Amino acid sequence: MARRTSITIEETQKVPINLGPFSDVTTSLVIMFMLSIPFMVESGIFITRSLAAKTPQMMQQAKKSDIKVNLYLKSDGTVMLNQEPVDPNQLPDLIPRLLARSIEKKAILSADPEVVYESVIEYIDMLKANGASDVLIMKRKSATTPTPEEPGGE
Amino acid sequence: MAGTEAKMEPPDMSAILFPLAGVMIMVLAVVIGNAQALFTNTSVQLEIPKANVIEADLEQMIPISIDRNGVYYYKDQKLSDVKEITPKVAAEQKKYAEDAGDPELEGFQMVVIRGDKSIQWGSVLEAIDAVKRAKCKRVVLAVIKKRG
Repeated sequence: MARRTSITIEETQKVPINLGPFSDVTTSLVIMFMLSIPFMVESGIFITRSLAAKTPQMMQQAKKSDIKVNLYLKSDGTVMLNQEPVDPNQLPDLIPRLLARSIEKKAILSADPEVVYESVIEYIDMLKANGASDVLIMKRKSATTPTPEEPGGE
Repeated sequence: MAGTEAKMEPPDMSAILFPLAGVMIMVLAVVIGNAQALFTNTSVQLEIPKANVIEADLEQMIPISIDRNGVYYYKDQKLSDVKEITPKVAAEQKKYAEDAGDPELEGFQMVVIRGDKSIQWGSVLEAIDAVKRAKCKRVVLAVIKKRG
């Protein structure tokens, strides 16, 4: 009996380990990892912010200058385009038409501090996707929409 | 002597490769698990917002992170106040210009604001202002590419 057992162990030890499935799994993992890199790795959106620029002054400058898109996101969810309320769903149609009248194709974006960051990124993304070459980030002091006559803005 | 030679068997390659393959899978798993930290120079884990438009690849950059509680981080260092960002970034920009041997490059190292998607815009604006006070010329908001 003891002799029979020793022969069985010896035979088992000589069976080679099949590494084929192992290497298949590893290769699949590597390929999946490589394909998912663009969706895992962080990238960025350039923004422009001028410390000296204040919203009312910029509004006046914008009237004189080339800037045709001035987007303001209110904390209550209202979106103002050039100081008029607008349906956010219409923006992808309106923005390219307004930017077509501009040479530099810059856009101003301001938002109340209470607005969720993700929604601001969505609007920056929308502006860039619709042809804005540069998004100027502006700061508003209060939740009310300042007019060019109002003092302060930052 | 001839009998000794007859007993020598070729090495079982599969027995050698099996542990090697195991180690390789472990290394791969660790790399996949830490991919984000490897590429962003910081280990602060955040839910970064997604966007379709991607303009900048983040390579050599200064990361400023804001977690979901509004706490600011400079690289991995937790900050008690947003005002601490300005001197740290200014020093880093100066070092960057010195290393490059061109003083005119001061302010040109990319600064990345990494904000959790659930935070308020006001927190991000304060970070942008702090970075701008350090005379940074290249400021980027971190996003992850949207699928589809």
